[in-house]
Amino acid sequence: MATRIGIPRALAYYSFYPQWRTYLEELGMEVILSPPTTKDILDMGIRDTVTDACIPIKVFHGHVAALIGEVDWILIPRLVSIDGDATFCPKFLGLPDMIEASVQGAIPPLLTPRIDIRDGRFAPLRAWLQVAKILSVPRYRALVAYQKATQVGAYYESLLTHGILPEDAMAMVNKWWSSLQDNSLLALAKAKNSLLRTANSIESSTQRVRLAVVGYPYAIYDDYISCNLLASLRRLGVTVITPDMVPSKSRKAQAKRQPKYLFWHYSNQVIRATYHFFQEQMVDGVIHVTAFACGPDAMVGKLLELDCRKNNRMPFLSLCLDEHTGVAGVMTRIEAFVDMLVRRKEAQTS
Amino acid sequence: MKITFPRMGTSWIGLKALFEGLGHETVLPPPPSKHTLDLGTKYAPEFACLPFKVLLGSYLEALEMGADTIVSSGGVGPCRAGYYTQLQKRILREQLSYDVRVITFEPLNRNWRGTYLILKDLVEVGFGDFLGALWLTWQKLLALDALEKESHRIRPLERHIGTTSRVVKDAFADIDAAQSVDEVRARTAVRLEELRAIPQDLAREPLRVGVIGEIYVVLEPFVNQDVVETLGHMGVYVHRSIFLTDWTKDNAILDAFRIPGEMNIKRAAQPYLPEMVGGHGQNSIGETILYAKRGFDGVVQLAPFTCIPEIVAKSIIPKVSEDYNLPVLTLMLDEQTGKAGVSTRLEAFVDLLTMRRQRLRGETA
Repeated sequence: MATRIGIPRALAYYSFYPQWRTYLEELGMEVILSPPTTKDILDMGIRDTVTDACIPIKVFHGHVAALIGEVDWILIPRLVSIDGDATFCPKFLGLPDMIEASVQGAIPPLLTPRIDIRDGRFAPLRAWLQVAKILSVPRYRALVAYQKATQVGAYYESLLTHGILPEDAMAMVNKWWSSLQDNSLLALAKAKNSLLRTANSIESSTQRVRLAVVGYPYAIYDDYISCNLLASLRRLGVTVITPDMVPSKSRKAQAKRQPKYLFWHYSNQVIRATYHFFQEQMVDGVIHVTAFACGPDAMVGKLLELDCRKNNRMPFLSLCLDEHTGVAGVMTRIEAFVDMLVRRKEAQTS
Repeated sequence: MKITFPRMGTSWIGLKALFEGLGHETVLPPPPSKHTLDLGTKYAPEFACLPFKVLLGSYLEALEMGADTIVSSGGVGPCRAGYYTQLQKRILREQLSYDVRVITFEPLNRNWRGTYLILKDLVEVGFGDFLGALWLTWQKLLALDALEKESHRIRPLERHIGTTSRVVKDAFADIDAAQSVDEVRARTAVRLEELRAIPQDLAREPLRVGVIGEIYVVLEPFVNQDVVETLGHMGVYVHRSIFLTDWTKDNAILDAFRIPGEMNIKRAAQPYLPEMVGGHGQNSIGETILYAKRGFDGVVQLAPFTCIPEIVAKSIIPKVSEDYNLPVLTLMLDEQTGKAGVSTRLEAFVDLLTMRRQRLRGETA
């Protein structure tokens, strides 16, 4: 039986799952994903974490608890820095240690490659090769797997920038992957490029209200944490744009507008994407989705508020989520916000 | 320029001497108070950590008193403190329309040139006087730390509760008034003698408790509800993990030459938290272990509510506490924290430590 490796469906999952999964599967492992967040998973997380932790961290602990007994290893990369400028939130930096110290029950051994590009261009590769070594997979096989994983990761990322939400994009990656006759590296690169040409760009009809939902992927895309925010907004007839839909090049171009970079990877993404939306006049309003007591967001939220004010008083809603957030409360607030935007838009066009 | 600067514990005495030595008028904000915190809380983001709110409040008080320039420190993260001035500047200028200049000293090793430019702008005296001002500041800071350390040792032994606090308070005022390095040294010697002359009950065996956590809340008595003094009055010897001069040596001066400081603490933390998580997160783990090894009776962790590095530490500390059999009390502080609540928890903690010591001694006897 193949070695089973568990991946918690939380935090960095939304950014890197296709890549990680491809890598591990190409090493001959069986990848087991924890189920979508439920009340039980959240409750297990709350049981294991300190009260001060934010809800995404609590949920992550719950997902790890859900994998106990199902897998031989759990993959929790220690994400330190992937762009060289910023690190991830300190809670990401200490994540494997927090899990080891706090999750109750017999947790399987953890695979914790330390990803820090500041140690050199090949540091992430070295970290992943180390994983292969622990799993006793030969080096050459790991190198090929790494290349394939990188290709898949790039494909996934570009699907996101075409306005596809992570879960749908992951399904597309899956379908594409399993339909491939030949998944050698060369064939992979060709197939990826032809696919990208056919993907559509974000619809941007100016008739409808266009709303930027900015926040960290693990808060906005986890339907349980966000109380189905994205689906609800779409039901209200709103075009939703998220930071992940902005190509990384365009985000980077906005970096010059920050007098000092934020210290946290996802926070820079949020701020830069928002500046991009402002510059391209892509949105009619901004919803900042944040978790109760989120450290970086205390800074990001205020910056967004000040920047929205500066940008022609762009309507701004801060939606703070925790384990007590209810669907009805969220619905009421976004309905009121959307109503206001619709009226504002009508007033502007008439 | 009328310069104001953040207040943190007794450091204001040194900073005041520094900016006056550089040829500026300083506006010393009043000691942080309920009013300061209310002001800061009103304009700061809700989940900003407590130091952010207190500092913002202090700046507002100083601006009302006529200050036109704020000088503070920066940082490279991932702790939020490094971004304080960026956001505070925008709040003060954009939201509250103050015409204020904010000068931020970034860590030297990445920013020699920037620091030079700031200094060129800021120093209005000759090079000799500049060095003299630095030296006087450093001596004052050393004196303050020496006095405070001695007060921590003596307070649990004092026969009349409150004597030590009174003496040390006068001593601080004395250091503040000193004009030269010689004067600082002479006064320190006198005041240390005065501290040692306080009537003490040497038969007592105080419990020994280490205080760890985030630097601002550890050093500023207003925000930690006088934890050190309260414990001292309960007859507990408090070892504070952070003193400004040690911290400056390890983190500002050594760091400028890219030499890692506090290696013993970081090494101790390795098995539990091998990664630097910003602020004092890794230190909190390492120091807890070192206190355990030195036979302390307990540890109190202080952290501002929402402090990211300390939340990481807090998550791991229960395991350390279990492995080393050392009781740890974590106090998360915010604008809602009250003195009575903190005292109650400390009393209960001290009771627990007392009983634990009796039990342990009973076992060995």
